[in-house]
Amino acid sequence: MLKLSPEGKQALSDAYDTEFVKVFVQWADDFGLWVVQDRQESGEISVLLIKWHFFETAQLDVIWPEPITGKIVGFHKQG
Amino acid sequence: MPDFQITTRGMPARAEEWFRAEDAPESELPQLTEEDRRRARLRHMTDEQYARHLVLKAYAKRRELDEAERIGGIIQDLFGELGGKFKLNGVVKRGFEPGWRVLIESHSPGTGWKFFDVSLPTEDFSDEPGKRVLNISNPEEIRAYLLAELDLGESQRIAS
Repeated sequence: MLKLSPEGKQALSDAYDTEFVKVFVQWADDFGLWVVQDRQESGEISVLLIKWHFFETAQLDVIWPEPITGKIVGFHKQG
Repeated sequence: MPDFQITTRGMPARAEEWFRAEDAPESELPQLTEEDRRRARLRHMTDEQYARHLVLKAYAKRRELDEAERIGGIIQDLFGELGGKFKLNGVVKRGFEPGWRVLIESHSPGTGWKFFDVSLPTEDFSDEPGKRVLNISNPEEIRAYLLAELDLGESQRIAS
């Protein structure tokens, strides 16, 4: 979920009509976030560039590494 | 039910799963609990957007579970052929690490138990050219990689 900056809201007004936008990020680079916009019948996906300064905050889910249940990695000494 | 641990993550999802979730009919969206609604508000999502977010994660987790079971099956077949020296304990996702980790134990008379934590690079988020990515649909590739890793594992093990 991105909160668009005033500049981003204006620049992306054709694509989004709200300040908070739910996006699927396909990749990110120096330009900004490339988000999935549309899928064609051929299977091609069109992506939209959201420049870094076009949003002010981003909210995403993160999973912390889960503890491994059971035995740990390493050695056990025999009896 | 597999007899090894599987840990799925449900992220990152894939573009095709995003489209499927966005296109899912309203009748297939989950009923939100009060807690779900609170989480939706926290994310500035509408209830429907959050419901589709849950559907997306469910799709991704389902795919991961299928992958883990397939990988586990390949490895258990291999270990069966090796005569029971190795046992698969788990196929797990760890943090944001791409691919899978397989947790293995082995026991040989006189050497005690050994535990291996082997990284299986089945996906790559780095876009680095030439980076090796294993194809889960190719059991031979998984088997060959794992056998090589277990041989190397002797020098990479971590003492408990």
